[in-house]
Amino acid sequence: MAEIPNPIEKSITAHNKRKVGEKTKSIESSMGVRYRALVEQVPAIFYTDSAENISQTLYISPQLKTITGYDPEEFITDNDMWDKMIYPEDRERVWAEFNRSFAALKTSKSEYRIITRDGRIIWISDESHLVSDRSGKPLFWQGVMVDITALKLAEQIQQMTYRISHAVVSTTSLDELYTSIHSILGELMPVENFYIALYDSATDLISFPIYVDLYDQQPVPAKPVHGLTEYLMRTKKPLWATREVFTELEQSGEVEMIGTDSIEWVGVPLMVGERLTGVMVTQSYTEGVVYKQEHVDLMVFASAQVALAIERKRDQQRISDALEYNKTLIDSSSLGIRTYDADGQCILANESIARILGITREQVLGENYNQLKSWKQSGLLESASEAVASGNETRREIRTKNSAGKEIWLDCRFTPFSSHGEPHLLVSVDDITISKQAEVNLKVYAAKLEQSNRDLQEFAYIASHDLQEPLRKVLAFGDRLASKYGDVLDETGRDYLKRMQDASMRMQTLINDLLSFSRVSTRAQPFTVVDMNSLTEDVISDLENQIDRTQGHVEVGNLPVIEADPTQMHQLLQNLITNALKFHQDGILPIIQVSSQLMDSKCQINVKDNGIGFDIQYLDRIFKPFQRLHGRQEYEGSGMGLAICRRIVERHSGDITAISTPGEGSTFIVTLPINQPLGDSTYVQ
Amino acid sequence: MNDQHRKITILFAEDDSNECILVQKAFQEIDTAYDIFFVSDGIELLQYLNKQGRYLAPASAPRPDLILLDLNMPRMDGREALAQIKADPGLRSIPVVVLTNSNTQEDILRTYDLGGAGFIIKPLTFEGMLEVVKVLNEYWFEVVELASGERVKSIKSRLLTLPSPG
Amino acid sequence: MFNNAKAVNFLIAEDDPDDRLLIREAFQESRVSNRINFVEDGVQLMDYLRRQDKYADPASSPTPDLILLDLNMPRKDGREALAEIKSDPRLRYIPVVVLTTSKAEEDIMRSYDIGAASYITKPVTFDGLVEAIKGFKQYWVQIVCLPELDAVKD
Repeated sequence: MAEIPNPIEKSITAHNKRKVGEKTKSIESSMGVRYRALVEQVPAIFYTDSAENISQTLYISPQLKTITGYDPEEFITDNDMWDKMIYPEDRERVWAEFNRSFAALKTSKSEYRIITRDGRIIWISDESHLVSDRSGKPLFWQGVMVDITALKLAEQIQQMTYRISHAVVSTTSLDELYTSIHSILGELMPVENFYIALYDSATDLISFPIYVDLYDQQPVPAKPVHGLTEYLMRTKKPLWATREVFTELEQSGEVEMIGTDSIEWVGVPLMVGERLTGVMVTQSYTEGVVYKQEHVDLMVFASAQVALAIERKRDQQRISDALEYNKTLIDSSSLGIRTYDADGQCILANESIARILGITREQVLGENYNQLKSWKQSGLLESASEAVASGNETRREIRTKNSAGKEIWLDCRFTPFSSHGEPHLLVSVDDITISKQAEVNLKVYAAKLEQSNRDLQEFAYIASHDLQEPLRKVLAFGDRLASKYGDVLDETGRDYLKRMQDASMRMQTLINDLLSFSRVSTRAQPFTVVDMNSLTEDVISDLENQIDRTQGHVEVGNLPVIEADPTQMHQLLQNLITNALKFHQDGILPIIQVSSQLMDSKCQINVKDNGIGFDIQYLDRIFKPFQRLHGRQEYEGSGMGLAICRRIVERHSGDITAISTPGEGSTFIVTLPINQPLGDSTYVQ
Repeated sequence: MNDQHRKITILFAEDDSNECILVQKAFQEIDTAYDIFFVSDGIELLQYLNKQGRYLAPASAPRPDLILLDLNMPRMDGREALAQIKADPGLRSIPVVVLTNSNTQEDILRTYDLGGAGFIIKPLTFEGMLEVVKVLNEYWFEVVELASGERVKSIKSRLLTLPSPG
Repeated sequence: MFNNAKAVNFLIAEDDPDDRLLIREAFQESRVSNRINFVEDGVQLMDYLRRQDKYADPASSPTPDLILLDLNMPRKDGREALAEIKSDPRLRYIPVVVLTTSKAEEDIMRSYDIGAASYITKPVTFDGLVEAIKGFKQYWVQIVCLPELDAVKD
């Protein structure tokens, strides 16, 4: 129970008392003119209620009228007026509070809405306390009602703003944000039909990330048309459109109707600074005034925050997408990627580097390269430091062991870069173990091949040498036998002896030819520049005797200069020309023509003769070792000459073939590349 | 580069120009291609072999397959020259045949001791020289293998080395 | 002018018995009547030249005027023997003609380098061998002068 604290209240009390019989009189008389004026100036409604009957108002200040439009006289006479004024939703709550405090004789305080005479809704803060006399006997309730509509709105806006901006952080996606915005607004105003439209100037498309509507479906992104949405985007001003406004706009050609006709439409532009990003709209299909000014105000207030929230969220999304993209790139790369900060601490590592090194990502992230012994030993520290110091990329190939002890080859690249003004280092590692291993294997194989070649050569030489030796004896003693005891033998005996000697000589030839054949690979010399013309002249000179004997004639055309093994080229041409001379036709002087043609990177050398020729169906056979087309009786030879030719040609990556007509002659065609890998003699077939 | 038909190169160290002409004529009688170079004393001989002095250009002093050496020459005689040639690892594989007037046992012995590959007393007649040259040709270029690293051929020997293709 | 005063004798080092026979026959065929002695390997060769063991009698084992040397022999091969002979001041005056199957360039070069007077590759045919021996004889017996035995200081 409060004492009467101040003169104003005293006056009011007095004033009120007067109104009600004798009490009224005392109130009135205690009210001074200046106090009344003061009281009536304050923008608040002062009132006094009876302590016995709470519904009975003894006094209410004139501000009642200015604030609510209701007449104080009316208010006092009509005890229900107050109740009727209260916004229906709040009534229960207000009465509950009021009754409670009345019963408890305590101060009552509540905030509630009242409907003004002209139908507006305002927020009121109503506080009243009990005034008692000195003995504690309740005298009357003293109250003040303040219009806190603006405050309340501000509160609401603040809260909404906070909640919307909080939604940027609390939602995990743009979709969730839109839904959040919708629901936040939904607590404050009717937004059953609600959408946000966003405009992308780059694509000139309007999209509707959120579209809640009783009738219409969420539209797909489309070019701007002539609806209200587009109108709003053009004008950049909030629009509260009723049926009349629609019609007006339609008639003026500003707008075409799109979608289901709504009764009322409220749209606000979403602006980030001067830039329009989209619009936010709510609409109603039901008759009757749905939206109030306060709703429109709320939308307007919300729009700035919503626009900002959307921008922020999109940025967040973009960054998150970019990060995700980068992360995917980095993680999915088969290269081992690490970045280090200025102190040498590893701040990023992908799975691949962990896999390459055979440790976990966590272990990699824990490393500081300045402290790694392996980096110091392998020279990686040097390369890293050089990169950081010079600002240029360095590179180093190292051989090391992974955690399992397996030897690996790594190609490491150090790229310095700046991040937030601090020097960082990107280290990308390519595991080249397989290709290095292949390189090593190749070298080993090449060395083995060389060794094998040498062994083969030695073997072939020794074999032929050791094989020749007894042959020589057979021949030599055969000779002795023939010359010393030839006359002792009869014809058959001499014949047998001759056949033995012939056979031995054939074997000798065979061994020599086999040795030649194997020497094509084992005695291959490095390729060098060979003048085929002068080489052919040499061959002809060597074959002078045979040429004379057969009365042959060799014509040599213009032959090219190529890269080849000179000894083998000599052998090749010698074999071909010898054959041409050997297989001449009886009674016809052998004429041999050696000519050539150049084709791209190859040259073709032809050795044409007018000899006996051969049946083309045997073309494959003649190049095989020991294959002969004639009996030993007819033509001597082991059948190796052309096989040796083919082997030589193959070693030069060339080709040999022939065309022939029996009885007319043959042409042997050798195709050889003009260029060879110079100095290369190791890789032979 | 075709080394298979390089001409046979003989280096003749002889101060007597008549002998030189005699030898040259004798070689001409033989049906083989020879290049004969003449030097007139030991010093010139060594200069030739070492490609020094006026023999700097390699083409002017091709490495000989055989050296015919007179013993009595001015400035440096054949005995000294022979000693030096056989002491030089780069030159000592060249056969040196002494062709001289001397017939002393001392000279003969010394020649072989130093590594000479023959001691021939100069014939007095052209027929004699012809005979010597024929034998020299037959022996050194038909029978014997030389260490020149290249196949020195004369016409007759080619037939023996020909493989028979088929 | 030709050296026909004394009978030149040859020492032939050859391990192959067949080759020994053929060489002997080739000498006969080419009418080379000079005395020839055979040894079968490098050890025997050196023993002979140093008048060791069974070669102590100069009558049966006369100091050769010329040695024909096969390179490939057991126990001690021709290459080793040649080096020994040409480094021994009491033996190096004896001309050594290598007569061997090898035609390897390395063997030819090495032989001349060590001090062989000539290098002959054994011809493949008997006739060839006869021709070679004829040529050999013409040079070494008919044209060339060889040191006389008394002139040699033992």
